[in-house]
Amino acid sequence: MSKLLVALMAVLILASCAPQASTGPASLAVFIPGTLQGSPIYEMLDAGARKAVAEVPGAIVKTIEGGFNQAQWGEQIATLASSGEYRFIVTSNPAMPEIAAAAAKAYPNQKFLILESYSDNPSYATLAYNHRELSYLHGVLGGLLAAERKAPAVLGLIAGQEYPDMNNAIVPGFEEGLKAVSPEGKVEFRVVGNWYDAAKGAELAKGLFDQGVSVVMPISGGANQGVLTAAKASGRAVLWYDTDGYAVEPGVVFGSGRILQDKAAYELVKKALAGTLEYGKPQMVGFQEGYLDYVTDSPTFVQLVPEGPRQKFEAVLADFRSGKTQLEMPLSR
Amino acid sequence: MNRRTNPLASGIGTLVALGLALGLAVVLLAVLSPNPAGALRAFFWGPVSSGLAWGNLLNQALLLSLTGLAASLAFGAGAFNLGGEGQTYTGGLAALALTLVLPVAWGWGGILAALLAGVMAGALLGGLSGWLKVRFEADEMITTFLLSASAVPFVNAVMTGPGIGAAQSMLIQSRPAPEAFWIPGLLAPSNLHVGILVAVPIVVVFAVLVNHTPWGYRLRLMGRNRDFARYAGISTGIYALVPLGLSGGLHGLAGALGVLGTQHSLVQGFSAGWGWNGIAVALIARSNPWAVLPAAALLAFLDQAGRSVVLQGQFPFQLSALFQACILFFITARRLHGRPL
Amino acid sequence: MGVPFDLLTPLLVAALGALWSERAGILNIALEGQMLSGALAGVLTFHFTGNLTLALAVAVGFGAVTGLLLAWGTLDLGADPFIAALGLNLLLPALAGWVSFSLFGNLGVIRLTGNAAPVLLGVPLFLILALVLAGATQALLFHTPWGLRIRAAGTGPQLMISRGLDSRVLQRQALAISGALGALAGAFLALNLGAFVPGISAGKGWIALVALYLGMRKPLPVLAACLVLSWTEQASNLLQSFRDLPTGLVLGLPSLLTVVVFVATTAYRKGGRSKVNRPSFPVRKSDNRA
Repeated sequence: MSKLLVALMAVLILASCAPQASTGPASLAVFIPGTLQGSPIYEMLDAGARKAVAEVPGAIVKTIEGGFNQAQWGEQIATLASSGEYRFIVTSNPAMPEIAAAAAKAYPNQKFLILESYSDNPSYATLAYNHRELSYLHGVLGGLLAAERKAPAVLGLIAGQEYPDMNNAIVPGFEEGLKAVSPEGKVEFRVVGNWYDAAKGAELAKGLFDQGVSVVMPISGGANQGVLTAAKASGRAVLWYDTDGYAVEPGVVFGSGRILQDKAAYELVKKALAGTLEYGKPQMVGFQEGYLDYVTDSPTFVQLVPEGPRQKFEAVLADFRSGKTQLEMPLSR
Repeated sequence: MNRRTNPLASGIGTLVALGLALGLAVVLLAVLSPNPAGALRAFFWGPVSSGLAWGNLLNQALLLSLTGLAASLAFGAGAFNLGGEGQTYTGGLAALALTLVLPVAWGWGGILAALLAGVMAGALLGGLSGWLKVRFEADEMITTFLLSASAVPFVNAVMTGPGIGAAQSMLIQSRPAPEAFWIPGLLAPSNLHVGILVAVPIVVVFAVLVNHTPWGYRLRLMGRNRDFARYAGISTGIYALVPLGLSGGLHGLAGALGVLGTQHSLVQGFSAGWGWNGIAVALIARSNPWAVLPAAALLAFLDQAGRSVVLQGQFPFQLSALFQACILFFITARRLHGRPL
Repeated sequence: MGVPFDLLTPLLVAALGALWSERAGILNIALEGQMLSGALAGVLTFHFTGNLTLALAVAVGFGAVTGLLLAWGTLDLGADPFIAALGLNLLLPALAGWVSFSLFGNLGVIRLTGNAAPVLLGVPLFLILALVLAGATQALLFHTPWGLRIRAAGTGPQLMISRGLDSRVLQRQALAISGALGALAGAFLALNLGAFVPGISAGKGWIALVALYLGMRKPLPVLAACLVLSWTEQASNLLQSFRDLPTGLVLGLPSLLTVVVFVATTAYRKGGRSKVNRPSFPVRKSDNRA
């Protein structure tokens, strides 16, 4: 019996030693630092990359999920790079330039397309979003809604975790937008501690509502669901940060921002495949460049937000789109 | 020698279990993967297919040996140390914090001092549970778990705070340690480094201590039958506190080595799951330090193999956990490989 | 700061699940995975049928099955109860993800329409059910012959052998009940929130074990323990309004407070050390307790 086992294993191991088929020149790996489904920002990344690949005959793309353990991503990226199979590794996360640095150094021919990040490393082509502008607009709408409800000018922001972009750009931007409407306004910041504890999200939201907060913006992944439930029960408003959320809980989500990650991914990959992509030249994009937007053409938005505040808001939005107003995104690198 | 005490016989039993587990792995891959041949190749060949792969495999096997030894020492003495993750994390913080204040000229002396700091931090945390057990008879399974659960957010707060937090980073991490205190790496860019090799002599030393000294005998007696141990005059206080302190210290060492050798800074969440993995190793090794090295190697291989399969796109990510669960189950289901209950 | 009903209900039910298993001698460490999968089972059933009773029933049934699976692994296959439960804890979320993916094409959130958490006379229904279950546990485990036998099974094999009783049947029953309660706890959690989120159990299955020992393995003290734990969590949430306190400290506070309370209650308990049934220590050779 044990001899049979040994023989079986030997056969298997020998079989797996067969040489791999070589891949064509244009091959791409989309590395998702997390899981694909349930993460709109990564779904858009994948969709945009695939769209670009589909336009180039013979190009291959493979999507690989890295899971939620940040400490493992570096190892996984290095393994992908070492295989030499992929001309480009496409990923998205502000910390990725640092995480992939060792791999980039060890495999200098490997090119990385890293969205949602900013780095001048010559192996990388990076594109960062101006979160300050996006959260500023949320702050403006939140302030207008609070004023409309005759509620105190206090907005709530519930984050999954604290991280540099959150502390340096999103929270201050949110408060700046609020202060543009109500100069005495204030943002109440809460942290869940992870991206899935919906019960805690609900409790934190309830605490905010008891304090008199009438509008809250959750950026906490799965925990957002708890915030939505609490808001529904208390009749408060929720702002949905970076995707169209009006349908998630009708009547509760009053505004939705949008990060056009699919557009960015598509364009970056297209340029890479065509050989026209510039490396080592990081880009910062916002409303003017067309990669950030606010969903105002939804009937829900029109229905929920009264005309006065809506027009004021759309005026501010128009200024951002045209480039008349611009905000600088603090870069903590 | 009967079958139970004959190490060779029990070794064969474990090998049969291993064979069954691998067989199961093959079946699962064949059935659930879109490309069975590719999946099998990725599974068996991936973890050893390059210097990088070997480096990661060895590093993980050695780290698991340390945490597995830590868990074994506790179990062997009749204690449940569920706080491995917190002890590892705290050890990493202590090591890193020390490197930030030591003069750079210390070089290797500094590295050793930092490792020692990691050991002591972990030992204090584990020992605290031991003391609570001795003094208040507080169940250490609960206290190790809770203390670890509180340590993790505290460490998170400290490592991003003033003086220690990284100013220029998008990762939630501490400042990097000065380069003089980086443990030299091996097989770059893998996670392997010179420091982790110390795991082997440590395991051997403890294997000898536990199995061939009077002290070790008393320890094992505590694990087997505490009341008898007390009748035999063994001080149950010390023999409750010391194993937990040792266990915590080894976890702390693993954390310190990870910080100084692989990441060169404290990255948030790096120790996630390390406690449980150590417990799994100890359970497979049946708390025998001699068996810790092969058990750790086995688990490391299975883990890397599973990751390799996912990384090569041959297996859906969400099923890799299912995979691991089945393997674990098979390895410990004693009836399946013929040993009496 | 009132009573945090929403935090209390799932924790209490899960702790009761832990109690049944622990009293029978096989501590159920798979509660976390059972809570998560029970949450999914409840949400899915409600999503497709809109029937709350059915949703709870499906969760209970599924949980019982997982409990029996654990029993099979531990009692029939001789697997180490710790590892078998750890294995379940790995298996169940993966299974949940697979089911979610197969049905909806995504691993993410399932949000319910309609009210899945009714309120009776101002008190949430789930809380009422949880309290009823606590009362039932007290009555069944401590005031019936069957309950006595289950607890006897938990004290060790000698008593059982001398009475000619088979501890395995009783342990199997206890584990099935334990699994059912764990899954029900998860269903309560998710249905109350009106959504399933992967990872929604967020460690409550482990906190339930803490509640069990903090509550000295008896239903009414366990209820008190769950209250204490819920209050510390609520306190931590409220403390966040003081932004000067480091977030890490505030998040770690509940666990720290719990240790203190646990040690204090252990130290002042009358009658010396209470018996704690943990999984058998995995030592080699004669780890045969039977």
